[in-house]
Amino acid sequence: MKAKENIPEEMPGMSRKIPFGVPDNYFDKFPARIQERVSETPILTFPRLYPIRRRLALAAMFIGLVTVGYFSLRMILNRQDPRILSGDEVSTAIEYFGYQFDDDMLIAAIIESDIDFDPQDVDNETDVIIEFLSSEEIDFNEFLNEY
Amino acid sequence: MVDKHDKELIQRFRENRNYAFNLIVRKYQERLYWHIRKMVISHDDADDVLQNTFIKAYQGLDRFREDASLFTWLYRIATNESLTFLKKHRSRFLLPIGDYQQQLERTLESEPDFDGEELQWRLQKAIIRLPEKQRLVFNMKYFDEMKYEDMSAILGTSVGALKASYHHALKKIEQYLTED
Repeated sequence: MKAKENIPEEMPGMSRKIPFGVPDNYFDKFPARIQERVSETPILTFPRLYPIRRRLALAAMFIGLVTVGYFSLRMILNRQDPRILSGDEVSTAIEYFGYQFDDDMLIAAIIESDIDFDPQDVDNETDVIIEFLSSEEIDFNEFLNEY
Repeated sequence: MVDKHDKELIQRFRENRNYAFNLIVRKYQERLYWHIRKMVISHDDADDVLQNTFIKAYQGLDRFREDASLFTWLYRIATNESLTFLKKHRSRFLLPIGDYQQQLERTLESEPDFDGEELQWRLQKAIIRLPEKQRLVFNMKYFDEMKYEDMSAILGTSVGALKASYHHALKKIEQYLTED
């Protein structure tokens, strides 16, 4: 690439001269013209930030703290998400919406719920589910195997 | 870094704006004019862009940080102004890039001394056909004999990318000149 950086060497006769013309005395007159324009142009002034820098920093810090607090609170509240149903609520829901459930949906709902469900220790809490399963003629063993 | 004379000019500008600014204009007007002219081709357009460049410089000189040279700073403003001008001009007339290049070619041909056979003019025609960025890089390197490091500071592009750009520009120009 280095050898090609110099066109005149490769193409004799080509100089670096620019062939454009400029009106006579253009560069002599230009400073006066620009001076005239400059005197008509308002000077843009930008407020200096130094005096308010401390206040801006405090405001940014406050916003940061509020943001962190907000997201922390949301994380805590998400742990107590009301959408996670208790065992009774699941049973009620199953009773209420049971006719719309198929087997897969029921299993998925129970798995997704927060019930501490031990298939080997079927107690009163899950009686309603068992009743429902039997009334819907779902094979309980199949359900246990799935789970 | 700002050279000693420029430093004095900037200092004087803070004390007596108009006088010092006049000195700055006198010092840099020609170099900036040719840089702009090679991009916009027409003298009238170059004149407009040069004026805008100095107006911007006048408004911003108070905030000029002396970690770059004054010329680099002015050159950067002139480059931005030239590119903005070309972009505005293109979008104002809704011109596709090819048509716009043809328009620039017509402007070139309307120059009083235009001689399509002369190598310098053919080189200018070849340069016009380059994409804007390559044109800029080629002009800065070939005509202004600028160092890649200085070009990098002005254009905000890495040295490697500039070298590649110049190399592509050279290839295209060579191709154009040997085709005709």
